[in-house]
Order: sequence, then C-alpha cells, then structure tokens
Amino acid sequence: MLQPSEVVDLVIAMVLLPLIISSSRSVRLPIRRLILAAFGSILFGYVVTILEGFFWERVLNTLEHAAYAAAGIFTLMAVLSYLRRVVVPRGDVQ
Amino acid sequence: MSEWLIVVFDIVSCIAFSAAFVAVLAVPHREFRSQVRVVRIFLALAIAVYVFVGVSNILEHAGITAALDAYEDYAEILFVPLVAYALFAASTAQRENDLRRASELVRAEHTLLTGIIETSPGGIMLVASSGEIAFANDRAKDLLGVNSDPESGALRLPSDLVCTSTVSSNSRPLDLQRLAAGEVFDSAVCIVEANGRRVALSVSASPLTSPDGPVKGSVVAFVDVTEREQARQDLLDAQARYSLDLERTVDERTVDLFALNRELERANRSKQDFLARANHELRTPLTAIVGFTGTLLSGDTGPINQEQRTQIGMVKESGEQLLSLVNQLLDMGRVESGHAVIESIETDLGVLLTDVVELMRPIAANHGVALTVDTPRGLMVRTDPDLLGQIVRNLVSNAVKFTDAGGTVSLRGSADAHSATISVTDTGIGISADEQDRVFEPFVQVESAQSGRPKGTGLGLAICRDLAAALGGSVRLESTPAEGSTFTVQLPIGAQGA
Repeated sequence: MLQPSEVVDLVIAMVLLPLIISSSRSVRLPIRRLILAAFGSILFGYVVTILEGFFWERVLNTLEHAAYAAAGIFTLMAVLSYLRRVVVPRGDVQ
Repeated sequence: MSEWLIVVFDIVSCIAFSAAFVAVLAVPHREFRSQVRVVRIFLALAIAVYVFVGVSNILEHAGITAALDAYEDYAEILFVPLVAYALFAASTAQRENDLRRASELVRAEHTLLTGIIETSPGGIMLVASSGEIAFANDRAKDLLGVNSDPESGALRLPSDLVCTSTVSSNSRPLDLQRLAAGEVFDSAVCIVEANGRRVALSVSASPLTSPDGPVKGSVVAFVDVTEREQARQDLLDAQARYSLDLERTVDERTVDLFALNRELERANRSKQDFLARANHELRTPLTAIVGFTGTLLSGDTGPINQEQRTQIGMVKESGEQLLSLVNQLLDMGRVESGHAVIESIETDLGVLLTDVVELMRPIAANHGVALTVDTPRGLMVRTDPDLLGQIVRNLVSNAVKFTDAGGTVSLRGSADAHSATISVTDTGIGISADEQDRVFEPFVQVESAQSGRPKGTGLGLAICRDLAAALGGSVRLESTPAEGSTFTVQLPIGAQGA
C-alpha cells in the first residue's frame, strides 16, 4: 500500500541529494565512500518501499529491510574507520 | 519465513546503527572541536532515526506491537535533512579550518618577511605603479632620508636628493617614475646626495608583476657601498700614481740603457778594431815564420844538423799553433760580432761529410786513427755549407786529437722532415760527467785529456757551439770516460740561423 510519507521521504532525499554529494566532496575523509554507500542503501530502501505498493510486496519489503541492515553496517564501518584514525587517549582530549 | 528474515535484517540494522550512535557520541576525538560539535550532534540524530526505525520494525515484524509504527514515518522524514545538514556543516567547518590555517600561514610568513626586511643591512623599498613609495624599511629611510608627509602620511624622497650613476648618465636607479614603470637595475652603483650626506649605493630593482596584468611597481633593494667605492677609488688613484712612477722610472732607465748601449757599441768597435789590427799584425809574421821554418826544414836553403832541425821544428810547431789560435780568434770574433755572413744553400750532406773526411784523413792517418763516414749521397739539406763544414772539421779534429792510435772516428748524417743531424763518434778517452758542461766554454781545456797530447787552443768546441747557434741549431755531447764521445749537431732544415 503506497503511503504519502514514503513519497515525501524520497522527494526530500532527491532534492537534498545534490547538496549531500557536493558537501561530501569538500569533506576530505577517506570514509566518504562508506557514508555515501550507507546513504545510497537508505535511498534504495525508500525506492523499494514505494515499489512494494505496486508489485512483489513481500520480496521488495524484504529488500527494503535488507537495505536498512546494509546501511547500518556501512554506517558502523564508517564510524569505526573514522575513529580508528582520529581517536586519542582520554587524557589528551582538548 | 520472510517475516523472520526481515526481523533478522532489522536486528542487524538496529545493532549496527546503535553501535555507530554510541561510537559517535561516546568516544572523544580531536576532530570534534567546538565549531563542529554540531556536526556530531546532527550525525548522531540521523543515526538515532534508524535506531528507532530498527526497534520499531523489530517489534512490528516479530508480532509484539505496532505501536511505534505510527511515529516511524515522522522520524524517517528527518533523516535525509539531518544527514544533509551534518555534511554541509562539516564541509563549512572544513573550509573554515582551511582558511584559518592559510591565514595563520600568511601571518607567519608576513612576520618572517617583516623580520627579514627590518633587520636587513640593506635598504628595501616598494614603489607603486603610481610612483609613490608604498613601503620603506628603516635602513632605506636612514640611507635616503625618506620622510613622511605630515598630512597624508605618504612616504617621499627628500626634494634635494641627487642620484648620479657611476656608469652612465642615463642610468638613474632611484628615479621613482622609472621604478614605477618596472625598470630593472642590477647592482647599479650611484652616488646619492641628500640632506647634506653623500653615500655610494648599489641599487637593484625588479618589477612587481601579476601573471596576467601590467607592472604594479618595483621592489628596490640597495646597500651602502661607500667604503668599498672609496677603497676602489683609492686603489685606482694608487694605480695611476704607480703607473706614472713606473713610466718615469722606465724613461730614466731607457735613457741610461741608451747611454750604456752607446758605450758598449764603442767598446765593441774598439775590440773589433783591435782584433782586426792585432790579427793582421800577428798573422803576417806568423805566416812568414811558418813558411820560412818549413823552407829551412826542407833543406832547400842548405844542410842543417839534427839539433838545428829539432829546434827549427819546435819553432815551426809553435808558429803553427799560434797561427791556428789567431785564425780561431778571428772566427770567434766574427761569429760573436754577428758579422758572419750566413748563406742558405741546398747542400748534399753526404758530399759535405765525405769532403771533410777526405780533408782530415792525412791528419787522422798521422795519429793512427781510422775515419769512417756513413751518410748516403743525395741527402739534401738547406744550410750554410761553409759554416757546417767548419763545425764538422772542428769536431773531427777534436775527436782525432783525443783518440789513441788504432781508434776510430765515425761520422753519420741523417735528416727528417724538420731537422738534420750529424754525429761525430770517437773511441777516444771520453769526458767525465762533471767536465761535460764546461767543454763548450771558450779557452776551457779538459784537464784529464792533456797528458801526452798536443795542446789545443780551447776554442774549437766553443766555435762549434756558436756556429751551430748561428745556424739555428745546437751541439750536444754524450760521453763515457775511457770509452769515447759522441758530439751531435742538430740543425733545422732550411733555417738560416741567427
């Protein structure tokens, strides 16, 4: 069943996508690809959520949740990779 | 089945996002400074959205409750804006950080450059394209007397400043209009007079240009070279004085030398006159003595007894020695005075040496010495045959004199593209090494060679050396005592000599 909020999510995501990509380009982080992969997975989840309202409901619904799981894993990898680079001992915190 | 798979995915999603959330919030790291803390907050909120979505999905798909599902859509709608804002804030913070670092770098470089310029021993000025002095360090102000306009505060040169180039009157290294136009100067030295002071400056200037624009003025650097220029001037003055002194001294010495030369010429003429007169006066009676004693010894004028023969023979021999001495003195004088006439004639060296051998053969036979010649006929050299013949005769005569009976004197001639070589080798008594250098000196007799041999004049080898020099060549000696000597004459082919 197609829900308006799902369409709104996708529209907002598509509108803000250029801003997200351009901002991520200026952030000099080696984990940029992991962040974009996580974000892409979420977007993919949005798309299949909408599509499941029209066909293959169960398969696409499963894919939606798989996409969220992948996004979670990419996000965790990105955060851990970032922390491995910049984490400092507690006594040295500014 | 698919429901449980979905639950598994949701559990994985929930755990992963939760762990990321905790890591972002709990772990301190130096990148999160105050200006980017907001990034961390928004990132944590974005992650929290999917922690909540994960929990909601687990409860719903595990069949526990769907109470949170109604709030899920509201939470999800926040995710993308939160991520976008977090990334935008991070990007802005990054740019701010870069700008701050660049600004710090510029400030540090400015401090360094200011320090260098202010402590520089030379003056440094910046002339704008308008011709105004945009900057001058303390040394520049001191050297040029740069002052500030009381009203506008603009820097300006003293109105009475005069800059005179030491190289060219067209070169004006401190002309502000030229500097504004970007004229280049490289260590141009000029004398600057301003405020009653006079200093010598070495000025260098290079234009300030932008990659795609016109000249924006010049950077001018100058150092005080007054002491150096003064020292240079002193040196030039001293050099000029020294040159004058030297010229005066040379003139005086030249006058002295001319006077001395005239004296020498007079003395030489006197010597020549004396030699000519003495030789004439000596040769005439000596020739008569030798001739008449020969006539007496031949018995044409009547019989003489043995004692008379012995004594007349001694008179004749002494006369001949004296005549030989006089002749050699004449030769010596002729060569030394430079009056010897030297010809340059195509000469067959083989014929010349053979003639000398034939001439000297009777004398050699009297001494029991064999004479040999080893030179092919037709070996042509261009030289003076009379002088060369005299050299060879003297050498052969000398060799025969100091070679015992049964010995040999050999002549050998050869020539290459540049020189002719004649060697006279004997098997005589030889000359010791310490006497070899002296044998070519006039009147020098080798002591060890005198016992039991006819006494020479000591002029033969000296004449050989002088004649060879007159022909542009040389004579050298190689000798081993008790084994023999080799005199080698080397003459340039075609040389006419001195």
